Amino acid sequence: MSHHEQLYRRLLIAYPKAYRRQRGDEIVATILDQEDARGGGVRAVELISVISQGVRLRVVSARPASTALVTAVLAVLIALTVQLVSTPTYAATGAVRILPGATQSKLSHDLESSAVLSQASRSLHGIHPECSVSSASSRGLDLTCHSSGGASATAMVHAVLAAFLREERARHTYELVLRVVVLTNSSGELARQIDVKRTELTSEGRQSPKSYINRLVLHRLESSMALVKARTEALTRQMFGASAPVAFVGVSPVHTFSLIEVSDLLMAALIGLAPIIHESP
Amino acid sequence: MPTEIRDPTFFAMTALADAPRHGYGIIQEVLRLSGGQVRLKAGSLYATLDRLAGEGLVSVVGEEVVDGRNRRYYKLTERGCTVLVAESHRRRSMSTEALRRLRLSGRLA
Repeated sequence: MSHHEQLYRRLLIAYPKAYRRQRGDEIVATILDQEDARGGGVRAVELISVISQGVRLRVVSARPASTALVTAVLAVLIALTVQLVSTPTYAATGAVRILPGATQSKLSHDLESSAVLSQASRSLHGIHPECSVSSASSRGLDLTCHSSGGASATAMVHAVLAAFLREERARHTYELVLRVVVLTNSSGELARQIDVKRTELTSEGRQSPKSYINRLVLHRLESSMALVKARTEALTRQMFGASAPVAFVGVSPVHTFSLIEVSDLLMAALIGLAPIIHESP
Repeated sequence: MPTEIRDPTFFAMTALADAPRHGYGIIQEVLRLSGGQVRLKAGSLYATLDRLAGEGLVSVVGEEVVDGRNRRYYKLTERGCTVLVAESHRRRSMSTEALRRLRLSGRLA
């Protein structure tokens, strides 16, 4: 089974088990056919459509347990949406948590964590000199990479994951338990639009008809911002616990990006989510 | 009976009117039929097929495994044909009426 096929099969976690058994194979076959037709890679909207259709079916079947699932799958979608708008000109933050393997002692974990960290820093620095990696060790190793502009969050997480996988192969002591959130900071598009509207409002007379419309638009933008912020924070808490740093970006519609860019991220996110979205009885 | 047949569903049914097709085959055929306008996404394709199968308008005619990929073929049922004929007539009479009025007003060459 190819790497991509495995990824697509993972996406099917979004669907109810019975449905997956009945239709899973042909859905995967259809996505692979599309990939072949494009000469590799599918449009992200295809994958999002597959995930959201699964979520819709779960909502229709509406078991109490599916609420957690819907939240979890939406979290992936939000992470993807954040990916869509994360461009190199924005400052970006990516975070990865690596947990020690079940058989690994705390001591060896601490020692090897520092090896992973230095490897990750070197590897990231080689590609994106403006990036920094910092770490915190709690239950696992939390690596946070930050770029003030230049590297996208995806690129940073890729570099860190690659470094981790290299270390892991060399030592065979980690279990691949990754939690990945990629977020970019508030210099995003939404924040920019809000600034523009605020400036317009201060330069206009309060009573002009245009100012009325501008106030409405500003209100809507601020509500969207609050929503994105709340969801992003919830997602981060869910994956990293209460102490995680939170950053976020505005949401705007972007239609295509390559699978290659997100496959590792999505896979890692789904690995992280798998325990949560495991079947309800 | 379906309350409304939107364009993507109409194209999907049309794609099955002459021959059974599998998932990707339907996507390709719909793209061709619509002159590149309607590109069904995998998720919505299967949602459409579920709905049509639930209404008895399409059914599975066969399966085969090609290069390890499971292909399931769908066909338009008798009932599906009846609905597609009715919908096609409805769409034709709508456009005929539009053209008639335009002609009457002298705005159609």
